[in-house]
Amino acid sequence: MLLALKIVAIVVLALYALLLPFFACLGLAELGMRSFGWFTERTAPSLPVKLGTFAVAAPKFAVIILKSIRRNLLRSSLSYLAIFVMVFVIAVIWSILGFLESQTAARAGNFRALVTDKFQIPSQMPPRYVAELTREVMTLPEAVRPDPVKDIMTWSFVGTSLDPDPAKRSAENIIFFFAMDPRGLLHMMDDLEQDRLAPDEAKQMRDNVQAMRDNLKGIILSEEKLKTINRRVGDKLKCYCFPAMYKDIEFEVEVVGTFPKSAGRYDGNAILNLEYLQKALDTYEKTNRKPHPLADRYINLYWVRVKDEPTMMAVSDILSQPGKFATPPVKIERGSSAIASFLDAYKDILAGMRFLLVPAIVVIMILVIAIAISIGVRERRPEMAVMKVLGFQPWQILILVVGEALLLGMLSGTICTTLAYFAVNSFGGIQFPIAFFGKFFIPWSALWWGPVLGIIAGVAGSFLPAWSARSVRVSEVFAKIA
Amino acid sequence: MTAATIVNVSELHKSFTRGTEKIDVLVDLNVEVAEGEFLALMGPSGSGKTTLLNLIAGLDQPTSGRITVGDQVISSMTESQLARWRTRHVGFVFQFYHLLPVLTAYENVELPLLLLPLTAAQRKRQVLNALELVGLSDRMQHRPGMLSGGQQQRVGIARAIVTDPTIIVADEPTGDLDSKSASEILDLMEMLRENLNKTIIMVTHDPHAAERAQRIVHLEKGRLVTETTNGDEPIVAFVRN
Repeated sequence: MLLALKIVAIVVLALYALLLPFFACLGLAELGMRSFGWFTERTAPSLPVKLGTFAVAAPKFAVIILKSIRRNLLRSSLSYLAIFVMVFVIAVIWSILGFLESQTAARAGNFRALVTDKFQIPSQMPPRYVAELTREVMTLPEAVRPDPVKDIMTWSFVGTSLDPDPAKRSAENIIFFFAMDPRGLLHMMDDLEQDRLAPDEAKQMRDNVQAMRDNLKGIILSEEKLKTINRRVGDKLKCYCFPAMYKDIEFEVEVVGTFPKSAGRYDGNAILNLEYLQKALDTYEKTNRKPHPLADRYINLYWVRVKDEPTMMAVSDILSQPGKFATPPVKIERGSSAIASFLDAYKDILAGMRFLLVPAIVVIMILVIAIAISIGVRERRPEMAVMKVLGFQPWQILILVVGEALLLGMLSGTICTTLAYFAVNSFGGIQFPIAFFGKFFIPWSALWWGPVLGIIAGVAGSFLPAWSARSVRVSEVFAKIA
Repeated sequence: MTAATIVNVSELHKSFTRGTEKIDVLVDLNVEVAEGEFLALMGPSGSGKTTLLNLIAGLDQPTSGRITVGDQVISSMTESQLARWRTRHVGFVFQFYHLLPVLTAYENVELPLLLLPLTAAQRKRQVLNALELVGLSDRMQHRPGMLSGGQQQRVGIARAIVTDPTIIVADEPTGDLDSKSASEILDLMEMLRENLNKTIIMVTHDPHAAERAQRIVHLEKGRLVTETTNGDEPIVAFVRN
């Protein structure tokens, strides 16, 4: 009973929160139009006659449109809510697709070449390759030569659990590490680069990196993950590697810092010092008197930032020389292409979202508007006829109907994307684990394309009913009434 | 007729097609209405009186024949020309008032003026004058739902006269009113004719309403059958077998 009451209260509050901005916008729009009308009535006499008439009539027509929306508040509210929900779903889908697209698109001025094992998936390269690859890359002409600290990094993926029992592994106790040289965090990791962060966050990252360099066992963890495992910065953790990856390897780590708030994409992830992984593998060898199975292939990715496309081709040529990097052979590709290849596994679901789900939602949105406006037009056919009798031209009646739907769509789109932008992004983004991306955020561009989407749906959905309204035959309407 | 003819309907023919059947609604009709005249159109249902009214008001176009209102031949106008013409020259009073429910009485009366090049002051003056003429100055901020049937019809009349039209056409203006309200509306229409010299053409089934008109034209099966000047015996004007 109490639960039911709570649910009812939440639904009522949610409706109130969603509808309040709609009613407020309607009220404000009417107030604005009336004020504009008051202003134009005083300035119109100084304008040419036709322009003056238009200037005076336009805000009054707008008020009629607003009043028509208010006429059946229940229907308008339901239409608004339906469009709101659909724009929200599209905003979420588009945010995910847009982000993935941006990651798979080459970025001018920030070319990152990715070297991976040519045939093995996941890529597994010997650690000696790091020094050898770096040495080869350093043979590039000085003008395009990468900085070994700022432009090169390696990643080793380490999946661990806080519980030693694999049967008790859960989303809550799993920690996924990127094992790397901490210095790479400041220059090579998306959204963590010093020049992209706010000054206080940039300092936070510098402090984190220093702490990791000072303490080999130091890790950086996302705040969200810390909350999930109920720990805080300074706490020590014991992490047990997944047997399928680093069997019998354990880490005793200390949380030395968290990711900056603006780098929400790293929620759920963690950074481990690569040197610690190396030491753990050495310890394993000493203890077990044999090397760990992954000891000679624990480098998953080797990243190098190059100046431009020709430099990347030059790096490719160097690495492809006969006899070099042959066991195992490596391949080089753009970082964006690599991510795209990685996302290939998800291409069907992503294509389904893009080409089926989004168009289907848009069509449903148009139909919702079409139905709502059609009902309204059918109810108001006598009014349309009266307006025609009074001298309104068919196109003016068409504009009144389309304007109603356009305003409804625009308000829904605007309110939805504005609320979504601030609410979703403030509450930590959209949880949608895909590949190594765990969270997505509504982009600021949604603030313009949300309203545009609403407007397009409004115009498309209302066009047929509006055409029917403009074509009302006065004598037929009144004959039916009689 | 001493006054100038303001409406001239000549050899008017209107037919509709229903399926394969052609229905003649008006057949070779000739009617003249003088300026400042109050004319009632009577006849049984389906006799074509509303069709004639719609044609005179420029709401429909004849199959053949000619309609002149003032100095303009409206029977050859296009739809948009007719719309523009109606704004200035026709005031329409409906049986069911047909006020826009979301607008106040003032805004309803103001509606046709939005299409005309008037200053705010001119528009306001005309609306207030019209509302005062129908005795509703104190109800101008009321919505139709807050007014009685008689009051709504007064607003309808104010809306019809606010543009100072050449003719006022009324389709059963008292058909939805009680006898007291109907009488008041008819008083108002008579007043408009007498004081403002308005030309009024009214369709009605109600003999009491028709009595208020100066002339009554009876239609039957699309033909004008009798024409009566108020107080006179009916005269057979035109009968075609």
